[in-house]
Amino acid sequence: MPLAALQRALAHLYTDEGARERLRRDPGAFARSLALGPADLASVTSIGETRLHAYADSLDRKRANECARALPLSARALGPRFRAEFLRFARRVPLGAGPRRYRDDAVAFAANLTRHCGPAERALLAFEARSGPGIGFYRYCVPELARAAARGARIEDAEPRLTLVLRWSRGRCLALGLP
Amino acid sequence: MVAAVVGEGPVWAGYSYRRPYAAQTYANRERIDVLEIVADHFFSAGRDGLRELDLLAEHFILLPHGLDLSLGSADGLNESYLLRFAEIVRRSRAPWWSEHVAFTRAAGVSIGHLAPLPFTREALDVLASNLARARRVIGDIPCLLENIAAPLELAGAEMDEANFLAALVERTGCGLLLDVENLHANALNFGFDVERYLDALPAHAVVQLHLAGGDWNGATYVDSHARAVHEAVWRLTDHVCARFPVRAIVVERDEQLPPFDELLAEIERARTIARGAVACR
Repeated sequence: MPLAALQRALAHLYTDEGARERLRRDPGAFARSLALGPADLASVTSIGETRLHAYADSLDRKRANECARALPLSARALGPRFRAEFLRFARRVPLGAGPRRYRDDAVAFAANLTRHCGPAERALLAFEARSGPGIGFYRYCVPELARAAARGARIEDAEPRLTLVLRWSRGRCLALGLP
Repeated sequence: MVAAVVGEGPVWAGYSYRRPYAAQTYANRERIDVLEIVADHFFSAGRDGLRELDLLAEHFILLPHGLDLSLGSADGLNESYLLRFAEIVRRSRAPWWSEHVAFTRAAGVSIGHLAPLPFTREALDVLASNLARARRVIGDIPCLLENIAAPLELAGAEMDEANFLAALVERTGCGLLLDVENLHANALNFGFDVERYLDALPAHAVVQLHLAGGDWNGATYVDSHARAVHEAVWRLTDHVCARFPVRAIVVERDEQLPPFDELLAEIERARTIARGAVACR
């Protein structure tokens, strides 16, 4: 079906920098790789590079906003680094599908980001990325980190304290400091 | 035709519900006729989210709104999304539900936002087929389809957007959710005549309106939902209400949430316009 082929090409162009580069370098090869007919290729190229890039950038920004909404305390604690790291992540990892796509995206980003941040930030990210009930051990008292982040205070100065957290819903938990 | 589907009734004004406003929403429920709820916001909220939805449904008329049903996808609908969406619609006890004339995924790639369709007969066939599938699952609850703020135009269109929407209404029996801000944005960005656009829409099609405020990004007007409704959009709303039997107006705000009183003032202004138009009819 031509519409299916056109939508497949557009979806790649909107979300994948590599696809935009392939179209720019060799439109014919791009069309062949996605079974795009001449009329559909004309439709795609008529968008223009500037508009295409502007739209792709706006999609990345929207995705970053959704991630910050899913991990509000980590976003606050990391400041501008959160968005910059997310945009780097978004270039490599496509957005998934399904009703929980933004939550899943945030969890994947948090797992990825833990390699690039300090231990307290790592603990807060791990805490915030978990949504369901469960038990977890953390190197910091994460509810205290969360309160500090909400106040806008620096969390990297916090003292480590092994903590057991029992969580029964996203917003409710009990933290027990361990000796 | 559409008025018969949705039914006659009072004109409602409200806003698109956001959790940070939960307490003020309940505290001011006599000033809010209707709440639009974004179904997606309740998908990942678990049992707490469903409890919140049930509580909202006890106190407000709810209008469920989808973001990612992707009615325009040539690949068909995502069944998992559709089932969850249907559950939210049923639980909301809604008079109608709404989605966008757009696609958000193709060949397993999730775009993450509403992407414009080519205005072709083939796209109409796809929309009609997907909508029929959605209605089989969701049940006998009227559906409204919304015009999007287009980030770009696709060449090869066989008709303009307004005629595309008119054909869609005729083909499917759906109503329209006219996003006045999106219409304003598209008219600014692509330079078309709003009056001709409205002329092309079927007389009883426009059931609900969306209002919001946007920003200029260079030479492009962006439907950011981050500002108060602009005066130009209020004027256009006045005009649309005088022309169409609008049943509900919903104010949207997603970014830079203002004090709730400002939102209430916008809801009040929307109600005054809509009810004033009814009185003049």
